[in-house]
Amino acid sequence: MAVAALPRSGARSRAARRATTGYLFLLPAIVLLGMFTLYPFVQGFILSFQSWDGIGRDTPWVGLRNYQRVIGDTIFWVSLRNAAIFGLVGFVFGNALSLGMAIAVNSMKRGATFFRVAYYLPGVFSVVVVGMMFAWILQPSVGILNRGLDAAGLSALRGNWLNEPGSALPSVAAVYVWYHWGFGFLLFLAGLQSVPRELYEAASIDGAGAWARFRFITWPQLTPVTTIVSVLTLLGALQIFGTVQVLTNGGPGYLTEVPTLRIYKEAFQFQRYGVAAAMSMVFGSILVALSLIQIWMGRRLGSSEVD
Amino acid sequence: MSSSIRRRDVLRSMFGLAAAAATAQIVAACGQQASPAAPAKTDGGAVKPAADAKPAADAKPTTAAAPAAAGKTAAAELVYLNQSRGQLKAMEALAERYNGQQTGAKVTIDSPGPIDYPKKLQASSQAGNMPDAYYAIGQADMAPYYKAGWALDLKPEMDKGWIKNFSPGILDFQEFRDGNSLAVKPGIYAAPWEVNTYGMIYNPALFEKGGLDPKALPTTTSEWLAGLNKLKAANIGTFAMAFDFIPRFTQTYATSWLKDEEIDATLAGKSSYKADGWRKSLQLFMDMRDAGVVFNNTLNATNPDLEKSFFNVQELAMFWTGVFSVPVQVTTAPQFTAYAGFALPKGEGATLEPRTYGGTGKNGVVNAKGKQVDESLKYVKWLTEKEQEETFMEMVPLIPTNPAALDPTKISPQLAMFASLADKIQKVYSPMTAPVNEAFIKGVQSMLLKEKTIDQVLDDADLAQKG
Repeated sequence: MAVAALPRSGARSRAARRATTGYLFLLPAIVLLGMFTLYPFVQGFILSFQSWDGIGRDTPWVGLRNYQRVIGDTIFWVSLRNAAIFGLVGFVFGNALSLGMAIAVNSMKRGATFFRVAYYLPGVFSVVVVGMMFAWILQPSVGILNRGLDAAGLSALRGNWLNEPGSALPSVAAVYVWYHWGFGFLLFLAGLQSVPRELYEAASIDGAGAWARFRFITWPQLTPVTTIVSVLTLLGALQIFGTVQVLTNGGPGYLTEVPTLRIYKEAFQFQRYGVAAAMSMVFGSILVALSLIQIWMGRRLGSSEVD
Repeated sequence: MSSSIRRRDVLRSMFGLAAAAATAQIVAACGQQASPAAPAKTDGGAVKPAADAKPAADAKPTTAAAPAAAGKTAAAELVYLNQSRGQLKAMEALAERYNGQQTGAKVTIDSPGPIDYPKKLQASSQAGNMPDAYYAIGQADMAPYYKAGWALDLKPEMDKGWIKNFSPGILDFQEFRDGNSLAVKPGIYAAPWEVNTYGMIYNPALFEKGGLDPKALPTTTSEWLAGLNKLKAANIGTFAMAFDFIPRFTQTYATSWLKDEEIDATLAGKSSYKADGWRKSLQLFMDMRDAGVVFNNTLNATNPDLEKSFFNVQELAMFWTGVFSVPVQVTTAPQFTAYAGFALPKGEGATLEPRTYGGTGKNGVVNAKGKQVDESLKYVKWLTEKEQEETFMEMVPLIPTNPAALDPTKISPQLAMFASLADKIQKVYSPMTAPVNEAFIKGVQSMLLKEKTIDQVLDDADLAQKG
């Protein structure tokens, strides 16, 4: 009995040592994650039940008052609606464009490298640079777009792009899609390049056309990439901030107001950090819920394609 | 065996690193915690109790007016956190002058830029590492700093004679009185060296092109709107103001019907924004919208954008701005000097003479918890003296708060126009809160888009005031 227990105890201690080594290697990452992600999150959660002006040390507890305020804040809900539009545009148009460009570049025999760089290039710029550039392009009197329309004899199409109710939100959304399409494009391209050629060859022998090959080979094979890209692009579009702040600052009126900008204003302009924290918690919960739904749908789609 | 030794070595190294990092964090954290509360040593070697949790007024300037102690071995290093781009060169030149005067202090100007300034100030306060002196943005923005004890009450020094450096009444715009709406302890926390007024500036060449006589200026807003209609007909950029000046413009125009004390009571939350004067003031935006005379049909541009349109592109005939646009023209369009200005005309059926929004501009706040409070105070006082304000006036240019520094022969006609409005500044001392400010900006923009009515905007303002 005692003889049999010895090796088992040795194995256990070896396993424990291995586990300790593993945890020690993970320690730096855990410390950083705890310090810069978990701790601020917990602090933010606590702050959402307090009142704080951002400077003083007095942070009285206010119970659920901040959350009640957020629920009653019509501007916050307007901003959520705007974010949903940005999310939808980024998700549908942004991903469709990225996928289309990836398919086009993937099928190119020459010049693919150039287009890979060119399509990814906008994402390298700073958001302020992109904002300033498009603010100038879309400027109503001396902007390049309106001047170009004049030159082309299309003056009737001139617009005050960032300041009219019908065009403000679509203009900002278009800039956002242009700025971010490179990210989805690269992931889709990588996904396309990993699809086995034999599948296409077999399908061609069976007489499958271009649409059939896309529908029954490309699309199912891209499901994991599509899930990741769509989760990330949807979350990214919903969290749009820099582009809106530089181009319109949420205006005119609340036409382009988004939750992140609202949270920023609550904290840094109105000095109501507790309310801003409560808004962050509500908005963050919505994002988490959306991500979970999307991942679940992606898994279901993936498994049904495999079936 | 060798593998186990390697593993042990690795583990030991990792423990060492982790322990060192943890120790460093703890030491750093202790340092940060301790810093604000630690006793602050003055240059003379005396130890002052830290004013950490104390209100600003409790920190006493002891030897502020005294000359720098002789025989000092090391100069006190002072940092002034500067917000202004337009005044940076003047601030640097003055710091150099001050450093050359062997006062026992060496001043450094730290300029993060106007956009980053509020964030840097806030980060500094949270880190317990505030500069020795700094600029106060606006009373509502600065109230939390004053309440947290980051500013010295300058009133006792003013009462000792410093007040002579300021035009009569100008310090009223900086003074927090008993029972103020921001609940700041009564006192003066910033010493200004600039007077701010707001008015209309226009391009006479574009007036003539639009068939307007540049010398026949409008006396009522009806005449003014008629002129804008002419400019519009001639396809000339009509009128604009920066989106963040909408509340100031509204407050200025409301003086045609509201007394200063009525405006002050509204801003302090004692009266409703639904008073008739406010309604009439917002009606002007409706009239401009209906006449189609707002530049690009919107008020969503920043002041720098409009300054570019007015001074550089010269596509805008008129815009409402502050005296601070004059130095922008001097810097960015020095050849364009053929512009003039006038006060916003009174409203139709005005019952009162209009007064402009205004008050004080750039200023100095002394950090009451700083390590060199006396030296910082001395430096800020020095900045408001005649010679220094003359330098500001020449280099920036600006309207100085020190009456001895204002030489009418040395200022441009545009600056003179803004200076002439100084005695028409409305005596409203309660600041508009940030949410009310936002309610006016967004509300007027929505009115121009026909998405809100005047009453809705005023309701929003009342709601925002209630917090």
